Order: sequence, then C-alpha cells, then structure tokens
Amino acid sequence: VIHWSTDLLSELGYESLTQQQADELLDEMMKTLEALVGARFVAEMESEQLKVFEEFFDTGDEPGALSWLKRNYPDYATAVKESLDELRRELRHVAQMASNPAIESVPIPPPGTELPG
Amino acid sequence: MTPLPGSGAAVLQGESPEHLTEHREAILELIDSIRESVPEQMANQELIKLRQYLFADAPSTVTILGERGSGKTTLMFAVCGELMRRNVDLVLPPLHPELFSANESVISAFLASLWAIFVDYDDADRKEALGDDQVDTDLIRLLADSARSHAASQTSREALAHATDSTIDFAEDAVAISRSSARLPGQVGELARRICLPAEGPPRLMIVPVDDPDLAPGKVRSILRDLRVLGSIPGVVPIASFCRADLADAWTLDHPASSESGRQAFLYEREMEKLFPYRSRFEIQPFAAGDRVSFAPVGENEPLREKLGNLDRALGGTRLSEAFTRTDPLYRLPNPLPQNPRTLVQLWSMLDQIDSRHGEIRPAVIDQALRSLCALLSEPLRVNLGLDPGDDYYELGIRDTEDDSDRTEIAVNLHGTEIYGRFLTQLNNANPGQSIAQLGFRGLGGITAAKPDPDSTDGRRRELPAIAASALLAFQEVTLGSNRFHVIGSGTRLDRNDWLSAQEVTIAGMATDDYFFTLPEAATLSEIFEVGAAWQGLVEMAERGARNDELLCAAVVASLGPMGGAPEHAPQTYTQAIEAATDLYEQAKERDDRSSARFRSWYEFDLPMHWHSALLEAEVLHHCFATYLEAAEDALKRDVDSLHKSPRALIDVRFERILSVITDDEDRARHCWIAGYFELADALGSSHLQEISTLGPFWRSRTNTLRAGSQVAETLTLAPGADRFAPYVTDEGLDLFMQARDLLRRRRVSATRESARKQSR
Repeated sequence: VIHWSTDLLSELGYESLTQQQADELLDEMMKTLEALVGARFVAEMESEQLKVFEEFFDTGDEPGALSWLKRNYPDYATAVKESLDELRRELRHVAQMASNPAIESVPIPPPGTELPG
Repeated sequence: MTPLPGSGAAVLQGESPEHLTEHREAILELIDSIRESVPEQMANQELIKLRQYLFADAPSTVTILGERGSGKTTLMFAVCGELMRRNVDLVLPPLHPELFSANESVISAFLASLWAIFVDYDDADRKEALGDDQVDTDLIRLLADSARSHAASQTSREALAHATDSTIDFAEDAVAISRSSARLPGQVGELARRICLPAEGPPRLMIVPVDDPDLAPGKVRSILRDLRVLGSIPGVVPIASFCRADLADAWTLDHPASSESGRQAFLYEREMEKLFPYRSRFEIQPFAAGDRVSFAPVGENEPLREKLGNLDRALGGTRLSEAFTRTDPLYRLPNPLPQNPRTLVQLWSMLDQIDSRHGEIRPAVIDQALRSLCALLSEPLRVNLGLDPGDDYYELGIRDTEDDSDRTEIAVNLHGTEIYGRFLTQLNNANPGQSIAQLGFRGLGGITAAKPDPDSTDGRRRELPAIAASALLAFQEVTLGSNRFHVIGSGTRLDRNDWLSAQEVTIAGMATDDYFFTLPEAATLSEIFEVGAAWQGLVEMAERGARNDELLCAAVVASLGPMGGAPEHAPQTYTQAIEAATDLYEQAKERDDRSSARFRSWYEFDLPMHWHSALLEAEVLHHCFATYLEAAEDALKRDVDSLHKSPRALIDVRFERILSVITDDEDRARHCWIAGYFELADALGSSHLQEISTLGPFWRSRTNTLRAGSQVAETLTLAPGADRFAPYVTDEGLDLFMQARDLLRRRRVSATRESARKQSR
C-alpha cells in the first residue's frame, strides 16, 4: 500500500520546502505519475484497443472506459508503484544535487534500486 | 413671463429646493442669533472702538460653499427671500463682484446700495419698508462721509504722484489717504448703529449678499479685505457664496508665490479662517446618485427618472433610463448624471421638451435633445482628458452618403481613450478535477477607462477617474444606443480581448490561450450592466462547481441578452441552447439595429470557440457544426481575407497564433490542445487544417494518457503528512522547489511525446 502524503517528499530530502510548496509539489507529482502510468498503458495498447478506449470518451461514457481499463489491465497498481519509484529516484537525485553540488555527476540510480519507504 | 424652473425669481418667491432647506434654516437661525446680539454689541461705544481698532472679533460673515452649479446662489436667494418676507432686516441687493467696474469695490457698492435706499428713494413702498418716511439728515451725512473716506482711501499711489507737485505734498496727501482708510470702519460702524438700532422698532441687521467673489480674479484681495471690514462691523452681515477651489485659484493669482513650499497654502488657509469662521460656513455637497435620479426642479413634480423613461419611449426602446438611474455604483461605474442642480435643471428642461404627452415631437427636436445630452454627459470625460476649452470630443454633422437612412452622422474622436474590464484574481474552477478540461472564471471587479500616457515611452496608459469611465459609456449610450446616429470611427468597447483575462482554461493539463468564453461586445452603460450580470452568473455557477456542459449551456444563454435574453422555456442542454441562439440569429440577420449587430457578431465569431472536443461530445459537436454552417452560410461566404467580415478568418487568426510557436515535438506536446478544434477547422475549411492534423497524435496521446492514468489515485492511500517542513520560505527551499517542479513538468511532456511517437508508428 502506498501512503500518499507530503511525507514522500520529506523522506526524499525536501524538508527545506514550506508546507505550501510541499503540497503544490505533491500535486505536480500526482499529475506526473498519472502521465507516466497513462503513457505506459497507452503505449501497450493495440490500435484496436485504443479505438475502443477512445470511443468510451467520445460517447461520454467515462465510467465504462475505466471499467474497461481495470478489466484489461489488472496490473495497474504494480505499474503505479514502479512509476512512483522512478519518480522518487529522480526527485531524490534533484534534492541531493541541490544540497551538494559536488555530486552532480553521480547518475540517477537505475530502476530496481531499493529505496527507503 | 413664467420663471424658468429653479430660477432665482422662483426661489425669491418662496419656492426653496428641498435639498437646501436644511441649510436655509440653519443660516436663518444663525442670523437670528446675530440679530439678538446686536443691541449688546452696540451698547458700549468704547468697546466697539476697541474692537474696530484691534480687528479682534470673528466677522459675522455667513459663508456658503459649494461647487459651481451646486445651488449656492439659490441658497443665498432663499435666505434673502425669507428675510425679506419677514421684513425685519434690511436686505441689500446682491452684489456681483465679477460685474464691478475698475473703480468699484464691495464697500463702494454697499454704500451705493444704502444711498439708493435712504437718499435716492422716491416710491412709497420703499419708504414704508424703511418704516420711517422722515429724511434722516444725520444718516445722509454719515453715508456721505463714509463714501468720501472710502473714495479717498482708494486713491492709488500713481494718481497721488500725478496730482502732487512736491514730495512734502505727496507725503501729506498719503497720510490723509491713510487716515481716510482708518476712519472708514468707524464711520460705517456708526452708520450701522444708526440703521440697525432704529429709534422705534426692534433691532435689525444689514444683510449684504455677495455672489461669486471667486469669479473676479484680480480683485480678490480687495474683495476679501472689504468683506472683512464689513463683517467685523456689528449689525452688518455679509453673505458670501463661492466655490472653494475657484476662490483659492483667484487668491493665488493675486498673491505672488512664496519661496517656501506650502507657505502659500498655509497663508491662504489662515486668511480664510479669519474671514470666514467655521461656525458660519455652510457647504453644499454634490448630489448623491439617488438625489439626482429623483431630482425635479423647484415647482415641478416629475423626477428625472420618469423624464428619462419618457425619452426611452419617444426613441422607441432605448435603455437610457436603465443606464442612468442606478443609484449604487456597479462595476465601479458611478451614476453618470451631473452632480450639480444647475445642470440637472437644464437636463430636466431639455428632457421636458421631448415628452410625448406634450404632443407629437419632431425628429429634429429629439436629435437636438440628444446632441445636448451628449455634450452634457461627456463633460467629465472632456475635463479628465485635459482637452482645451472648446475642443470637441465628437462632432455631429449631416450624413453625406447615398444611404437613404435619415440618421445623423457623428464623428467620434476618443483621443485614444479605451475602456477595460478589470477582473478579480480569485479563480473559481468549475467541475474541479472531474474533466479533461478545467474551466476557471474570474469575477468582474470593475470597468475602467484609460488614456494614452504622454510621458510613457512604451505606450502605457493612464487610468482615468471612475466618473470619466461612466461618462464615456453614457456618451456611447446616447450615440450608439439611441440608434439615431451614424457613428464614424470606432468607439471603445468591452470585447473578446477583455474576457481572455477573465477565464483560465486548462485542457489535458495544458495551459491554453483562454479564448473559449466570450460575451457580446458592450460599449454602453446598459450593455456593460447586461454582460457584467451575465458573466457574474457564470462565475457564480463555476463557484458552485457546475459541470462543464452546464456552464457551456449557460454561456450561450448569457449571450442572448442583446436579443431579449433567454426564451420563455430556458434551454436545459447545450443543443437546445444552440437552437435557441440560432433562432435568434435568424431574426438578427433581418434587423439593422445595434443589438442585432452585437448578437450576430457573437454568434458568427465567438460561439464556435466553444466547439472543442474536450468540452463537448462528438455528437453535440456535429449538431453544432451542421446548425452553424446552415445559419451562418452567408457570413462564411464573405471575403475570407477580411478579419472583420469572415468568421473563418478570425478563427484562423487564432489557430495561426498558436501554431506559429510550434517548432519541435516538445512544442507539439505542449500545445497539442489546439487539435481538439480539428473538427471545427474541418467544418469551416480552415487553411490550417493540415497543420492541426499533425498535432492529432500528440493530442490523442495526451488525452488517452491522462484518461488511462486517471485511476492512479485509486491505488493510493491518501494520508496526512507529518508536517516536517520549513516554517517560512527560504532561497534554498525555493530553488529546490523550482528544480523539482521543472523536473516533474518535463517528465510529463516527455511522457506525452514518447507516447505520441509510439502511437503514430
């Protein structure tokens, strides 16, 4: 279970932000997470599947589209976790760079690197 | 001859304007109290001499202050008229310093008035009024002595030099003149004692009305000195009425500027305090809007509100009464009617000429009245624009075209003045988080007018006072709203550009150009009130969290105002709203009036901006296209190269503006929302159809990505944070925040770009 709160940011080294900045950044993080997860599934869809998916929205049947998504992509939660891990690595890297410019050359840890939390 | 409404004659006959009654009674009370003190003041001759010597007491001068036309003279006449009716005091004829010849002064005119009353009189009525038919030789001698002293005191240094042969004679004569000047108050005081404490009868005052001393620049110094002399003499009560600002200007002209900054203002204030004690100052305030609307001249009952209604009926459906009778400012626009009674009387009289109950009105009379109305209402604008006296704000002429219309031509030169809508910063988001299109609306905070700033090098404008904005819109209410003039040149209006800053539309997370919701243009007060109310309605709906389809439907209904508003059965769906709008558009096509032109322009140019695939379902869009293409067929056939004639051209200008900034895939990912207009571009035959179609994959990717990602939140458990953040903003924190936010935004764009690439393959 992923707990979605500003603690995600403080754990990544963002304590120097104010609460308001943290709230805003968490909102940005959610949008980006949605985009990453969405892009991942859209990329996996066959053109026929995409057509079916789009038709739901063209006819105003958003709930139908979401049911279809759940049926066809049962590993949705896993994809979310993986995308979130990816974002957290990148955000931690930004925080580390900001606190210590000397580590600028250190690459972002590859996927699969264990992260705390 | 019947006196004009509100004239001095009517007031002297006892008809006092209501708004002045309170002041009149207060002044009469003050005069009563001064009269009561006269016997005591005059009892002790030694004390009188000492007072005159020291000039120590505050003068008895009654001061009436107010703007030009505020009713100062009327109030003075009302007081004098009442005093004359009571027949106790001696009320002298009003003195008008601006009419004085070079040798006249307030004291000379005062003495001349007394001479006329006590020496030159020859009618029985006046004798009776004096209460004494015996010629008072002592009084005549005193008058003659006073007049002689005054005349001697007025001898100029130049005249003295010219008349004397030696320096000794010059000096002696100068001393004699000085003695005359010093003797004068005592002589006038003795004169006053003789007149004010008659042998028989109660004490009385000599009332000396002095009207508009501020209108006699060059003489102000001597006028004020004379007023001080007269006001300090027990029994003499000058009543001076003037405009404070004009008197200050005239005083400044008469007093060379002091080297010390602010010193002159200080000296002026001290002199005013000496001359016009605060306890006897009465200031007439400008009319409040409510008083203006319900104004009727003395002796008349019908208020201006009704007069304006009559004009609307005579003109056949204008909205002048609606525009000019609001008592509270709306959108920071104050009531445009003149604030001073004199001008209101003229307005009332002018409107009285075109009252259809008086019989048939010739068109020339109506036109003349409207011309006068234009001049009268635009005055605050002319003043605030700093135009030279006599400069025209507009010109009226005879139409010189082959058009068979009988409308008069009016050339409007706005001198670069424009009006703007000012919107609040708070954004009210409709349907928050529930749709791919986020609609945010800002409330209309006010309407302002601005003129070019001559000191600005970057074309900046200088805001004009609110009354100037009202005057501008009131002027346009008459010229444009009356539909009787052929207006040449563009007026200023609240148009589609103003509404851009009143909305914030985000589509699929992308910022747009915010050009989705516009209302018919508004150039007159009543039109501003109409579109303002319509917009505020949308803002309130958004604030309540209305759905996008509800807002779109309401936006169409809100735009039906020029055609009389929503039909009896208000449309409940967007499709119904479009049908209602199209029915009205068909009617508007057949009409030549301003309201129809406003509505046609909105329907042809602005309505299609709603038709974005993120806002409306495909089926609804297709219905809109079909309806529009049929109804606006003629409009679409107009010259496509002309922005003002072709709806297609305007829409293409908008597409062009967006498409011109796109150079690479990142730009495509950022601006691909414009592809939601692909169907519209296709239906209208846009010249940018091909370019828009290249954004299709990005748009589809973006929307599909968002939709597919919209379930993310369901897999998470929302929890409160432990609040371990900084208590205040630091440079370090802000820098980190910006870097992280940029990273997240870049990742979103790249996700869309990559997804689009995959889809296009």
